[in-house]
Amino acid sequence: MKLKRIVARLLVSTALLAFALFAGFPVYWMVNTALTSDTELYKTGQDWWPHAERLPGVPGSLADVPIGGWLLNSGFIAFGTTMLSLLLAVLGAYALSRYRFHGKGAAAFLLFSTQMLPEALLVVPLFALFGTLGLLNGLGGLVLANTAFAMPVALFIVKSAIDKIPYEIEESARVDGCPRYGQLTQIVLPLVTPSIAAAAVVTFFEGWNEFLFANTFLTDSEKWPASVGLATFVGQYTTPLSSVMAAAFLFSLPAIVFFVLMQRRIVSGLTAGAVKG
Amino acid sequence: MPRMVFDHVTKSFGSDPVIDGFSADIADREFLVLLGPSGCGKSTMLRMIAGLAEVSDGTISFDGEVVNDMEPRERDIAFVFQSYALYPHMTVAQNIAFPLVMREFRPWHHIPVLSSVMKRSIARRPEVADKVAEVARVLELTEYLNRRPKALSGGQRQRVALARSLVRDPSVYLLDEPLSNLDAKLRTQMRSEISGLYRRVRKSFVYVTHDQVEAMTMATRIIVLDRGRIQQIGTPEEIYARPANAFVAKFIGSPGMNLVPADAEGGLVRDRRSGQVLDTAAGLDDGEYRFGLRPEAIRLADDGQEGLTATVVTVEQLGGETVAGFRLGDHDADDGVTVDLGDTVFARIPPDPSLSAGARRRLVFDRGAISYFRADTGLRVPAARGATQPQGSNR
Amino acid sequence: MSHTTLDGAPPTSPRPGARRRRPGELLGYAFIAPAVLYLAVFLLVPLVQGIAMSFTDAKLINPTGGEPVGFDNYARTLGADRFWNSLLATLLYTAATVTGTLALGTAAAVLVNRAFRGRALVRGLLTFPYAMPTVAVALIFAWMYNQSNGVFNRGLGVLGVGETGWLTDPDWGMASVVAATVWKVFPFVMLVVLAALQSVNAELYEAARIDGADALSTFRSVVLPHLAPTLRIVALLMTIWSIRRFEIIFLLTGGGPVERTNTLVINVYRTAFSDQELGLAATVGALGLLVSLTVTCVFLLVERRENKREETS
Repeated sequence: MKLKRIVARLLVSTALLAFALFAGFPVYWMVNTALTSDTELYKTGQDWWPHAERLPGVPGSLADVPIGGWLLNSGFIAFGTTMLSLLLAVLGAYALSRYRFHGKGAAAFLLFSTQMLPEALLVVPLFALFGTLGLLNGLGGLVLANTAFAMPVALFIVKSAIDKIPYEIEESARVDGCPRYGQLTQIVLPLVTPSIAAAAVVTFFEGWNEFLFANTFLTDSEKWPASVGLATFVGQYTTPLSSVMAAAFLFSLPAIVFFVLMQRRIVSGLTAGAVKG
Repeated sequence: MPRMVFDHVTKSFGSDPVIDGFSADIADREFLVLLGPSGCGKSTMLRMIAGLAEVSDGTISFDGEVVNDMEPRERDIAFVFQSYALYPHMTVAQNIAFPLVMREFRPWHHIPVLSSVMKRSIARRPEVADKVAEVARVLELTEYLNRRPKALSGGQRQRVALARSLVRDPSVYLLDEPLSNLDAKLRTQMRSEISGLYRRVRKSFVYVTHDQVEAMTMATRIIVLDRGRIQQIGTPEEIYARPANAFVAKFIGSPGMNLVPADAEGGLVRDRRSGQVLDTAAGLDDGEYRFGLRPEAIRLADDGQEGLTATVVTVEQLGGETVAGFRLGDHDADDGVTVDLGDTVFARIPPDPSLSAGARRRLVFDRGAISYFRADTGLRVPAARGATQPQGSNR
Repeated sequence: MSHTTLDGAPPTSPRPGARRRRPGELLGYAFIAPAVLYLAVFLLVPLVQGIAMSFTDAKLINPTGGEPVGFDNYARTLGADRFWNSLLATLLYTAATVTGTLALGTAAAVLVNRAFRGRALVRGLLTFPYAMPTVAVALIFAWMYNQSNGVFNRGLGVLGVGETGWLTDPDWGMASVVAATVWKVFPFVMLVVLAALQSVNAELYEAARIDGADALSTFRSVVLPHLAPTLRIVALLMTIWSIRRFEIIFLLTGGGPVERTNTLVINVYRTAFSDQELGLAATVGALGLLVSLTVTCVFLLVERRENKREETS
């Protein structure tokens, strides 16, 4: 009946609105806080609506927080993690997708099971290992540590894309005179670029967001990525909160933008190995 | 142009042989068709010839040289896949040029960015560009050269796949059911195009299909396969007229040869169902046989003529002819029994619109058109009148 | 027919001369080797070292200089309350988080599955939490949870309820952390379930409509069975991730208040870097790994049983 349908639709719309508010409110509140002066925050009470007129002042307030240098460090770590992870992942994904060899099952299991390992357990041994290798207190060491966790995910994303390419196309290239390694670069890579892009986004933000290893391994505060730097402000209110929130929002923005753009491909790749059909 | 010799070629995955003891000697420049139902192993065989699948046992030789360990590109072959396997990210022109470009590539040219640059520069060379243009012209693809495969129709993609083979000028063309993805009309057209190509290039062709019409119309030699074993090797005429066993007899023809269960006793051959005498003086030993007669060889008796009594059970009016299914002997029109096609004798007769189920007719045929097969082995029994043995029977 | 794997089976009988290994196979090893070796060096070896460390009395100032102490560390850890509190906290956190994310994520997916204007926008918005870096999430939630000035208490103040120490009150600490986690993670469940929902064959919906099913029974008979395998996998992933999850808890409560949120991984960290006891930390870690493995095995067994049931029904 029509009434039932209208009521149903109303309920659905309300539920959706509730979800949107639920998901969006903290982000909105972060922006709001960035635009609110300390006096209001602690004394008179934070307004529900943002004070848009304060927007031009935000870049200046960022000076309270050395966010620039931090973001550069974050970028370096993230970029390094991405490059290294992709290199290992693309080669490995091709091998797992196309080749049948002894220990293939073991390799696949290894990759999957690393997703179970808690970083907290590995922090100490890696700390010791990096200490002896002289990799502590260096961004390069963080790239190495992050890659170990990010690479398997990237590998699954790329592998699921390679699985979808009919092998006949590669056989055709083989008959046409293309050597085996050429099949990867000439045929497969051009056809999986979207998935490689998605894998790149995932690994980039693994490196961008990473906190634990950066916090433990780095002693120089100039080397801090934004994750570590901003973490020092959690629960601390000596630095103007608006500046901190502005800096935090800046830190979050790239991740939000990219992830929203690539969500479908990322998730399908992440779960392809695990979920059936 | 090679003469291909197959010596006990076997292919197994684990313990089950997919191809078992395949032996044949094929002259050069033949249009060889590997014919058989799904799963008979014909595609596997083709891939072994191409070098895309490993041979488990036995040897394949081209012009006397064993090719088992050769890479596909060393065998001077071209392969047309059932799905065409065109490169989706390249234009038609790039697809066709690819084999020629690969010929010029050094190992380090395969590095990602460098490879695009090299491909483009090699494709621009006159010897490459001209050949691509020529082949495109022959296959009427000139106006599609800058399109991507997904913008092409099935027939056009087919032709691009053929162009890619043609441009390499190989000694052997290998085609894996290339027409099965096309609609009926296009299939007929492409059949003659491929045959035309064969006549033009005068090289060896090996063509895999389950469609016996394709085989009969295009082949100079057919190998019929079933479950990994060769059933018969021969020309289309030999396969049609003198099938080596019941399988081949039933597989070829539409409908296939009628195989009536019959008993031979004391020089007479009787239909087991109706008891009628089918043949006298066949010269067969006593025992169980299959009496084989093609639908095309059966006619309806004129009034007053002698013949086998039969009752119509199915009729298909095709306009140009009528295909009628009979049960030998007199039967009531409606036993209420579903038609068991295994018992049905089919005849292809001139159009007879009035023919309907339940009608009684008499069937006549030429003695010379009869084939006998043993009931136990399915093998053809050589005619007592000393006709020549069929070639290449089952091992 | 298209094949997706390369036939690498070697000939079954040797022929005179050519028994060479196809170069293709070697390339396969070469391609997978870097990834495998990398993981072995940076994950497996440290893992083994970590477990080995649990049998020593190593301290933070001298990580490699620990003396073997047999199972002493295990005896101490298992005998003290702190480990069992951690285990309880972990189980509580995991159960609450998994339930919350599955429920919210599935609900969101079902709601977003229908086409409507602005759907892409809403879906994008709902993805924000997952994309946000954990540190940023911790920052904003800490502020929102702030006892005197945080927005939650302000909002509740309007309703007449008093100020709650969301992160400082032992009764509320776990709930607050769970809430922040669920907020951040539910979009992942939503995206996965959404993908599964969209793969339901449209004809099934039509058949249900013809058979006269209403929305609820359609959901129960068409959607849920299709969704079940996906939900099981997601549940497994969520569980494992919950056991692993460190940053959000560390930043919001550091394991408090009064160690109420001191999950196993937080415990490991604090034992190592606050108490400076590496051997004991490694012990907790090893035990935590055992918990993870057990949970995974249980899930796999359930999965196998469900698969059998689905195949025969």
